[in-house]
Amino acid sequence: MKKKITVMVLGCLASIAVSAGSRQLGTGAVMQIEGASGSGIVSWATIAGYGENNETDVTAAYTYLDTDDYRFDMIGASVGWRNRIEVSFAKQELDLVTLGPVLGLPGASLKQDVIGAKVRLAGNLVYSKMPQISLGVQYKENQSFLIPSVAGAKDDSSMDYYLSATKLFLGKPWGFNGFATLTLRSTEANELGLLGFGGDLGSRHINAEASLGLFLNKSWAIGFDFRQKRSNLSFAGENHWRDVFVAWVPNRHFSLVAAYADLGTVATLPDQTGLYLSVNGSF
Amino acid sequence: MIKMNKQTMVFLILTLVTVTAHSEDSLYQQLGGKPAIEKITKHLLDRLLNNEKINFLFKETERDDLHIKIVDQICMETGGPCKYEGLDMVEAHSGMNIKYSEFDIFVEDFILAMEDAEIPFRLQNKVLAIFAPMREDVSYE
Ligand code: HEM
Repeated sequence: MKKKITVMVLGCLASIAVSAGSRQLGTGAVMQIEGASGSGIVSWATIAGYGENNETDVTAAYTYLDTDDYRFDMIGASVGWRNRIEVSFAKQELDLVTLGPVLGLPGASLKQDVIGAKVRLAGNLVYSKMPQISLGVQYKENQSFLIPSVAGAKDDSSMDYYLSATKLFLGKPWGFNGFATLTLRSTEANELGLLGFGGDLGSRHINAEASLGLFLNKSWAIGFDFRQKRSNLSFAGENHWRDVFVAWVPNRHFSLVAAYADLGTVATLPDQTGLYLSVNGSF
Repeated sequence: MIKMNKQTMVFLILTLVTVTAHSEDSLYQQLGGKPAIEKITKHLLDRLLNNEKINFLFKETERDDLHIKIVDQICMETGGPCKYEGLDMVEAHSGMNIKYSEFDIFVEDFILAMEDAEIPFRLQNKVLAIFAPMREDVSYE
């Protein structure tokens, strides 16, 4: 509840603030589940907000995903500095709606904090021929390591590294503006890190992530995300994640994303699908 | 071998013909020719000269002269029967120290001007795709 109020206050602040950067609408993308600029589950090469090379923007977001057996939420904030560097902080919580009572821990949840940083190495999302290319890190610290340690996770904190390429294609395909991202992520995380890091089956993997989509007009975009996942815990095998999304970006201060996410089996419970909602404010 | 009845064949051929014919129309024609480009340019200059964030750059500009040059340039770049005879983009903008953020504001006004002229979104984007690569000639990092 407190979180929701904070977000509403941030949202209001954002919409009355006079200044946001001057990049074109939509080019800041949205905050993904680990706090980085991207789409629902994928980190992109974009720098959060709308700042150009002489501007700095602050973005805040709240994300909620309900799969019946789990309830996930994230609150995050990020700073995009001069369209060059992004620094982000995110708090994630996964309520074990079904598993908690089964484990004799009703009300139990898994929590994690993520501190992220990203630097744009080359290219420009809109204007260069080459894609925008960025290198990012996410330092993840599990805040509820008891359950993950019992499940066999080795560490309660770890670093993700990712290299990402994102491009917007003006007038393509069919006159619309298409966009695409390909990201390679080196990670030891089990279910993002909510189940800790490493396990009996291994630790670090390089996984691929991708997004593909289309701006249908200035403020509406549709697309889909894919995120490869691999299992370190024989007790809790992981599946690749997918979602289809709709984003509404009425102005540079506010955006809303609705998605349908398919997370497969999560911590032994199969068929985790559900609605994903995210609000972003930038100023 | 895939079996097709006559109707399907005719339909496919017609579709192909329509698609190809359409793609042969130049962007200039799709926009609505010279009158549409005149309209876009009028709205663009209205917006630029009234935009307090960047109009200081146009303090000494002869509006009529710039209007003609921009019309010719859009007309030529979109495949119309015009010849742009002004300076090249580097020369025209050198010494103005146009920032990326000012370039963005210009692009935003350009998009709004196309909206004012009722150019459909999908044609707007094709026009933008032609001018977007000029960013490095016009502004500086
Ligand atoms: C791709 C983007 C742009 C295109 C295609 C473009 C096009 C042109 C053209 C054709 C001219 C006339 C050149 C001549 O006099 O021979 C011109 C001049 C000018 N442009 Fe641009 N321009 C662009 C971006 C900008 C931006 C971003 C600004 C400022 C924010 C700007 C400000 C000016 C000014 C002040 C002049 C000089 C007018 C004068 O001679 O007094 N332009 N531009």
